[in-house]
Amino acid sequence: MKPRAMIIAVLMALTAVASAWAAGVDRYDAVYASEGSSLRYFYTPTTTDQRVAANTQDGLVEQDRFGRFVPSLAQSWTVSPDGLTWTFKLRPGLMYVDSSGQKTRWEITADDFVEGLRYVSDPKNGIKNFSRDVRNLISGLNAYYLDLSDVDSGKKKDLTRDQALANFANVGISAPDKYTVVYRLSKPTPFFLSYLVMELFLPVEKEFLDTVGLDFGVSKEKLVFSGAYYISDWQRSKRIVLKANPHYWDAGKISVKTITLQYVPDPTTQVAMFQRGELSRADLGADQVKALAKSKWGQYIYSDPPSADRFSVTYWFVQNFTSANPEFKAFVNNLNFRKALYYGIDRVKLNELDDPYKPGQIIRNTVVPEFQIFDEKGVDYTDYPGVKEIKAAGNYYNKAKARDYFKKALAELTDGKGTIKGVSPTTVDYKPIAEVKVDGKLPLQMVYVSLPDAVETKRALLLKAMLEEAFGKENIEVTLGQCIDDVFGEVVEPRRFDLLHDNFRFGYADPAAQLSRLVTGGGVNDGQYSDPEFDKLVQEAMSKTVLSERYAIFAKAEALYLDRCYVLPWAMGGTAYQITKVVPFTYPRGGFGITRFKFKGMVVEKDPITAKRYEQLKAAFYKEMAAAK
Amino acid sequence: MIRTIPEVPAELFRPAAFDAEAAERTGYARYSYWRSTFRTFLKSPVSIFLLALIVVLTTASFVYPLFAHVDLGAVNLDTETWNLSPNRDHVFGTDGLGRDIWALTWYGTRTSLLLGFVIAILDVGIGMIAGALWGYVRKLDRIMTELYNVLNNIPQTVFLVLLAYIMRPGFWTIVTALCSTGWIGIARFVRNKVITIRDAEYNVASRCLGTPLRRMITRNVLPYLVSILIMEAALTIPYSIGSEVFLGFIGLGLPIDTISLGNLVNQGKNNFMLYPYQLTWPTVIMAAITVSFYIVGNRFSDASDPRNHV
Amino acid sequence: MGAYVLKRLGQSLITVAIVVLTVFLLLRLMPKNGYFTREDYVNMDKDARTAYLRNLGVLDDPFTQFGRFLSGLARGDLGRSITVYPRSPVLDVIGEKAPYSLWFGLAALVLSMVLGLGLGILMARYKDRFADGAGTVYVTIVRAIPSLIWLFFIQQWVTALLGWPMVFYEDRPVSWILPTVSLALSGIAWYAIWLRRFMVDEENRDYVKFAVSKGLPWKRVMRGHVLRNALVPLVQYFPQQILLTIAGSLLIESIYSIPGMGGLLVSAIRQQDNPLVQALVLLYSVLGVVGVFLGDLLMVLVDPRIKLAESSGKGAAA
Repeated sequence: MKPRAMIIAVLMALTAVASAWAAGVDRYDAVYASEGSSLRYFYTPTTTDQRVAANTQDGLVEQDRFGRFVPSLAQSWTVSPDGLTWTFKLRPGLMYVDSSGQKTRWEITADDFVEGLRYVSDPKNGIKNFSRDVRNLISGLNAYYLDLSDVDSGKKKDLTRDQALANFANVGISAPDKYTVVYRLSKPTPFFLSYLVMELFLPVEKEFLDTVGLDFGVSKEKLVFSGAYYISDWQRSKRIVLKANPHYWDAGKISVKTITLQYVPDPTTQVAMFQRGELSRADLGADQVKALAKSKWGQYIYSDPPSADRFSVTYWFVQNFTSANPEFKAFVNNLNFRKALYYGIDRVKLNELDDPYKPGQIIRNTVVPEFQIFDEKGVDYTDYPGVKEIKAAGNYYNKAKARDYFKKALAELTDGKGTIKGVSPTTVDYKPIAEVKVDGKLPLQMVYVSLPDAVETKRALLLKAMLEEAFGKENIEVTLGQCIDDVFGEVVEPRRFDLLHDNFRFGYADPAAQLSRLVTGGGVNDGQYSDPEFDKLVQEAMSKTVLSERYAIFAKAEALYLDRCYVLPWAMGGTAYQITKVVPFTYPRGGFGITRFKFKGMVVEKDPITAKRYEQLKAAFYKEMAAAK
Repeated sequence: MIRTIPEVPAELFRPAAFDAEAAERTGYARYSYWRSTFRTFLKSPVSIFLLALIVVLTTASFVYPLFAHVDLGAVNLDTETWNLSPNRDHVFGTDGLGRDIWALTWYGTRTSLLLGFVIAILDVGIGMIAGALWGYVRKLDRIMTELYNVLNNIPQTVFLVLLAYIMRPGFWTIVTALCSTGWIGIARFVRNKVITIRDAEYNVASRCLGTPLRRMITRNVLPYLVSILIMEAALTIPYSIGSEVFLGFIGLGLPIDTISLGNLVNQGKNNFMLYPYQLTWPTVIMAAITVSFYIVGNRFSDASDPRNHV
Repeated sequence: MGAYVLKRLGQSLITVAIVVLTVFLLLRLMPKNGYFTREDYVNMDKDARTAYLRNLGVLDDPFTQFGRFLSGLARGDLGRSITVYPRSPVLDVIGEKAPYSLWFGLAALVLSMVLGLGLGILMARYKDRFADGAGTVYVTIVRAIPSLIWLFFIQQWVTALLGWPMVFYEDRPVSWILPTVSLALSGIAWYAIWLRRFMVDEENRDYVKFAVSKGLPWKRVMRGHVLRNALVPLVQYFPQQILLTIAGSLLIESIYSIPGMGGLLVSAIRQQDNPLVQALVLLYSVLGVVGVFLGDLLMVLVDPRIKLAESSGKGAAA
């Protein structure tokens, strides 16, 4: 242990004998692999950016360690009976601090939230995350944005930019007094709070913004902080140091005073650094878990999927219903074939690449993730009838069933002698991803496309072997294709795939976040299927504002959708294997937005947490969570 | 310091008679450039050993896949066979999908050698033609010198990365990227040689004596160039293999499902702490190849220098 | 002399201009898709994407963009990064990263000169004896085996053996040693092998044989004639090597997590950060041609036999 840390530890022990943090350490050292891009907290393309933004800026609400939405800079809030007007009361007297932890002359006021929204909605500021969903959420915001965008592109000539900017007054956000923020929504949105944990709703001090101009957030000096930490050091591709903000409104909850994040892109180095005591936590890849398990570090390895950054991300296989490959097109539009695929994919085996210990624990059969959406009684959406059974089914892999369905599909689609009906020989041109010749006869040719990284490549090889083994090489032949890094531009848009491995982030606490994008012509309907029945159910669910009614219909829609196998969801993101000195369940969790990345409440100990201790804490945590609902 | 020359007894000297035949004989030495080059080269057992090693490794890597009947796409669905340590069935162990590293190494060696050979041939071929023109055609000098300066001043990573994106990663992308800058260095080398040889006294003398151009080229110029080119080609191979490893490191190498030494090394490196043998064996083979080519190239360049022919 | 310098400067300017223009145009061949992630495509409609690209300034035709780049350059403004470090002035980014590469590079260069030249002298002095053999083995390993491999082994084994940190810490000098040494290893080999070769060449020259047979002490011949003359062709490369240390080393900086310039160019190209790429290419090519020019001048200084007008383009070592 380093001398400084030792002194601190000794001092801590002396002064805080009675405190709950007696065993705690007040520093946290970790690494980051994705380079931070800038400190402009409205634009956070990497998780590093998000982590820094979440800890240095506070919004109106945040997620606590159970994932509930709790007051942050807003003390309390009310909703109008029609569900359209949300009024937030701020904590008075809070000041921004600068990069040395000193109070600035600016107070955090309601105006700052108005300014924040004004900033993100100006196309000139290039905030990519300012999505259609958000624009349509707040009344008048979409029109305001489109006007500005049209003025910039020259489409709208009867309006000057200044006039368009002045129209912000029509947008549904206002600050009637210093400590009151009012949002007016365009439609009743019971899950509005889940939007407010996004970086788009953070405050910014106008006077400060005006003084720094374009330089806003290019360095730590060009920022003021409203969060639990301020940035005391920020060096590109090197190090980020966060120090506890002494003037923070919730300072009592901050036991870790210094957070040091080092840029170490190599995962192997990370583990070695942890073993040498240089880090408070290290994430482990599948192969590392396997190798360390036999060593003395084995007792410290555990995994807690719901705490992974990408837990709410669902991985699925997209099938191309309008494929240029006539053989696959004929097959994929046949429900029996889709079911054959659905049962033919061994999720456990595919997951072994990520999670060699408990490959079953990261299976996800539903589109909408669990632990994210709760109705008024605290019931998880994924426990609604229809979805619940699918969630509980575990590994759908069943070779016999898969072969049955495949036989049925063959009977319907071929003449029984190996010729596929209505398919003439041709060359399928997916160049530069792949090129295959189809002859209208079995084996069915299909092109599977994935990204080129090591695990994806292994998964592709494995999937190919799996399908060809399940249905026989005489019946199916999988060609593997890879894109460089842009799945949309290289694969989806030019339609160069039959089967594609893909995933999507989950945006806000409502099933619509995924399901409304999967309807006919929807934003992530990459397979280009169409099912009016599903579309109608989603439409119906969206019109309900009582959560339980809404979720019941959504659950029906999702069950129907999955039963007809339009996409094949199979895993959740992130295995979260780690060795860590951080006590689990002490820090926030959640599936969207940025406040889940807060270190608030985190307790760090001197020694790594053992897997045994994790299990105990986990049992206690879920008991506590149930009681809290 | 002045040394005195001791007296030499006169009886040691005798007059030599003029013999016309003998005079002719000294004028015509039985000197063959190539024979001397090879004799000098093969004098060292190390050279012979390394040359033999190259031949064996190359042959093995091209022959093995013909006989091995290993389906490299064949992934083992039994996870028990993943990441095995070296054992009787798998002398180099298995990788993360249960594939035999011994087999992978041979396939990888073949890919990498092929890459090296193709690049070496293209680099040297283009470089030789361009360099000869550059040296002989004076008008080209300005343009070629400028081209040299430009290519020399564009960082090579720019070419490598840009081409990987414009053409997408693959065998020919790497070939194009490496050759697009590699040839010019060889061309300049050749050009300098051509200029010196062209204006060397023995060539001036040859011209004056009326030696036909063909003979001048084949006897006076080419031997110098060919030896240089063989050396350059030999040295390009370790360089190409190294570049492929580097490209793999920054994620722009051959596609990961292509089996090459670069990919094996990069994947092995990621798991080194856990499964060291996954890195060790491909590395040993790769080092054997690059070192052999490097030393053979250098030895050959020494041997091909007429000054070393005694 | 003056006229020559002017002419060289003019030529260099043309070279730099061609280099920058070439890279500039090549960059425009890259697909525009690269500006958006998978999620962006879902969040943003076509208009929003177009607006985003327009604000980055990448939709204008290449020559407008090039004009903008030149006019900015005339005002000493290299622009702001657009994707790697959005909105950060390019000069700030370079200013923050360059010192790391420079310090490591210069330290490594000094180390490689001292050790490399020393090794080269030893190898030439004891030609075909143990020192020469050992030196050759070292040079062969370093030059023949892909550097990634031995760099990786050095990091893994030496840090474990000596208990040193695996990555670079600014406040722990012990962590500076390995990156510097790693950086110097190939430089040492370069100096050693070329100095040895040039010295051996010189030793076989008639004037050396004459000086020796005339009775000059061996040491004096070596120091006064052989070494001096053997250094001449190497001297030419000093300025460029010194100047280009600023470019850093991608491998070593990424292995030891040094926040230098090494990986900057690659990530800038990958993320299509045109202003950043242009600035870097401009910087490197200017330093490159200036380095060659200074190298030629230096050659003239150390070797009076060489005349300026002929010196360009005739180096022995490459």
